[in-house]
Amino acid sequence: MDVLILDGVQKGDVTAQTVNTILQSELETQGWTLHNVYLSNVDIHHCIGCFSCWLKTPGICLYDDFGREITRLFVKSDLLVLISPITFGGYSSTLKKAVDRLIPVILPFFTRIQDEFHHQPRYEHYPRLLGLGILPHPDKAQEELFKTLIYRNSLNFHSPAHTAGIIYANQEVSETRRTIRTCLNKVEMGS
Amino acid sequence: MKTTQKVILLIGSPKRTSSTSESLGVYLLEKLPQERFTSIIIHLWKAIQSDKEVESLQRDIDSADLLIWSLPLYIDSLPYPVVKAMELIMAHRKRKRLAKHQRMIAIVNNGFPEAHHNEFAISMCQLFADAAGFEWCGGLARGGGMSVNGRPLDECSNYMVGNTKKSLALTVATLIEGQPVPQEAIDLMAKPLMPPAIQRFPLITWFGNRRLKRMAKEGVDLRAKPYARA
Repeated sequence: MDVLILDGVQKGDVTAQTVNTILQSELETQGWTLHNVYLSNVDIHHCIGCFSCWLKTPGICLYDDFGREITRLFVKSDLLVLISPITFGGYSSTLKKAVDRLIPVILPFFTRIQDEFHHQPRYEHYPRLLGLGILPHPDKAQEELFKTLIYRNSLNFHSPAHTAGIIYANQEVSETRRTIRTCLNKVEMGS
Repeated sequence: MKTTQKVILLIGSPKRTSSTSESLGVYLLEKLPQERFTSIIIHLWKAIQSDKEVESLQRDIDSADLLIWSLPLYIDSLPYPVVKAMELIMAHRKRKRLAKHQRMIAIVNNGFPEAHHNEFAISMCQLFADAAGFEWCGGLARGGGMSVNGRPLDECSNYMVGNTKKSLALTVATLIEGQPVPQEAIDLMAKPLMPPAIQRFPLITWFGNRRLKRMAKEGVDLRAKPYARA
């Protein structure tokens, strides 16, 4: 089973490094194959809204860069983990650049899910979704928004399960590990 | 309030050519009386491309009295150039807090028939405004993006954009008075082109999907699965 981790944190962020390290360790213990992408080390072009991936070269982005590889890994994976500092309730720009490049995995056509319109799935299989948001301190408004975003993304990405975890900078490592384990259990990956 | 106010229209669409975000924003901007408002338009995808352009963006924003963000929805949220711009402005604000009173509104549009998909994005705009020190004056959410499809609103049928124009007219009136976006404008902008009960008919989805197929090049398999698992 494959896990794609999209780490949207800036280099040098100690909390994020801890999160990623613990996550890797927990997943490797369970026998998962990890694809860990540190997005700040990767140069990909942002989506330009050209709709090529829907109408001209369906499923494939116009830009031939690592963004295509991220799409390929997404389709291959059983779990997608998004790690990000929570930015005005959402993803950092670093992570959002990569997430926007996942538009090719859905079709331009509409379908109804939970009595509202969404895009049809392109593929038969989609990964479960786990969002790990990092904050300097508790912030209820941002935390609720982040969880809402993960939920909304799970609908459009046709994730069979989803959850979001919040991690505060400088919290105890044991607490971070507990949060990650709880999240992994919720998406049915853990024991 | 100042005699003449400086307005900046920030267009969040990453598209290089005409976008619905631009159509909506420009329509609103052009309705503001020129004797009361001076304006500039900034495309955020361009404004974040280099250090020089970022500095120019930050200077322009520092000098503005009113910011109008006209933004598309990308995967339930705001697209990369918008988030990047917000981060850069925020970093600038942390270094240099202004005493100047500045107002901000946002218009978010998406391609689904329902406007409520934009709620998260509008909340993001509000959080940004609060954090960066702008007075949040409200957000407008619009669905049915294909009904505009990057055309000037005056070139679209009244059935498609009548409520949108009314909403923007109400918004202009309250912006002139220094008031927040009124609920009536919010409700008008969000009103779907057809009632939800009608939207649920499978035929509606079928028509929409057929239109998309016609937009594609002939012979292209829109349902291709290039990365399908073996």
